[in-house]
Amino acid sequence: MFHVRPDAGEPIYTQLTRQIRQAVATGVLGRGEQLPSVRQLAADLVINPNTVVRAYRDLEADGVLEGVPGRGWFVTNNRSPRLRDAERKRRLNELIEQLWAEAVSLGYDTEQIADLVAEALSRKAKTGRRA
Amino acid sequence: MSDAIVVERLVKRFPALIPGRAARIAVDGLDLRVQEGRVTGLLGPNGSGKTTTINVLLGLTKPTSGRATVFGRDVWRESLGIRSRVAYVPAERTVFDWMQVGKFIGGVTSLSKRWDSEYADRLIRRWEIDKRASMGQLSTGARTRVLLVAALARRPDILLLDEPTTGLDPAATDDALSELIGFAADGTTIVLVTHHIEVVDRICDRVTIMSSGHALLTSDLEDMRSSWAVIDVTGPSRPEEMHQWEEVTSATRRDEYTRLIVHANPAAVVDRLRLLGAEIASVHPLTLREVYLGVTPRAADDDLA
Repeated sequence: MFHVRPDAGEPIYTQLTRQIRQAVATGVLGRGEQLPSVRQLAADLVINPNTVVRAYRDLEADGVLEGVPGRGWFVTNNRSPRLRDAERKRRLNELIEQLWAEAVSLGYDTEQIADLVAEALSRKAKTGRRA
Repeated sequence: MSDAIVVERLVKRFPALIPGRAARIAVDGLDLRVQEGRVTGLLGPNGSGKTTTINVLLGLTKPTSGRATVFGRDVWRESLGIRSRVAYVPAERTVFDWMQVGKFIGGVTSLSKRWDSEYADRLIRRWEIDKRASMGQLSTGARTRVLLVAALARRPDILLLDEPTTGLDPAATDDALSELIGFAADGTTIVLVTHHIEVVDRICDRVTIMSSGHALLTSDLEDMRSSWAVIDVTGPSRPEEMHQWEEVTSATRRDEYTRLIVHANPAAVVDRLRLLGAEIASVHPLTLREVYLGVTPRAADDDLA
């Protein structure tokens, strides 16, 4: 069900969390459904078990998964709770980091990037659309 | 997490075979820490001291100076106590050629307190190992499997594996690695010495890159994937100077550009480079292969499988 590439230049646990999120969002993994055990998924994907643990814990912090001691990991049953502030901030920072790296390879420097982002956001504010 | 293996300022010098020649220094001031319950990959060009280090840890060769401990015990003075908890797959596959497979495994059984014969039999069936053949008759891959069975069924606390996938085809490699992952999930400490960089990339969570007998760098692999970057710079640049920067692991001049390998805060490095008048040709995240080739001066692509 999942597929990771260690040499993709992206941490394996974020590749995994993205795919699990998509599977939950599209209903491929239904509410309350059990995920493979850490050992099973690590062996299937041939990756380090700690990496799977890290992905599952991240998704738990997000409210996507729920770890039940002694039973395993499940897709949360209730509507996804509001993300914790620290978690939301972390995800936004990830996006900013990606944006920055791409913009730099296009030849912009950090100051120019900041200006362009501020400009774009103020346009959004004016047209009354939500960011 | 506590350290299962601690190596401090380890030196191993082999006397010259020919009088008058210089002694060979295999390990030259190595510092290494292996955390308990993790899978650590040891990479490095041939002759960088990996196998000698493993031999020191097993108490098979005496350190010239420095110190190495396994679970807090000195590897030379207390090697017997250590060897009962450490299993080893040697890179050298031909040493037991004269022995019958069944006898070889039987010999290992008799030395091990925790031998799991049910598990050994299961692996022997799954990997289609012929116990009546002599080791010398087996293909390289089959020999690798026999040595893996002998190490894994001991249920050790530490697994030291020197090229544990030699001779295995891709499917068999994945099968063997999945087996190792089961051990990692149970908390076994694993040290993996290999040239197969993609094996380290898949199953390790830490990596140490060695060159000329010492460690060039040690990193958490997921950290490496998230915060390391390659920055290629053209225009005026002085690699020697950039090398001194705290965030820069290496700076090497290529034909038309200078390649920086950065292990933290690439944004700050890019800004500083621009102030110096450098052109940024590209910034992209790093793969383990690129880190390896970037930091080991003598490594060539054909050194890796």
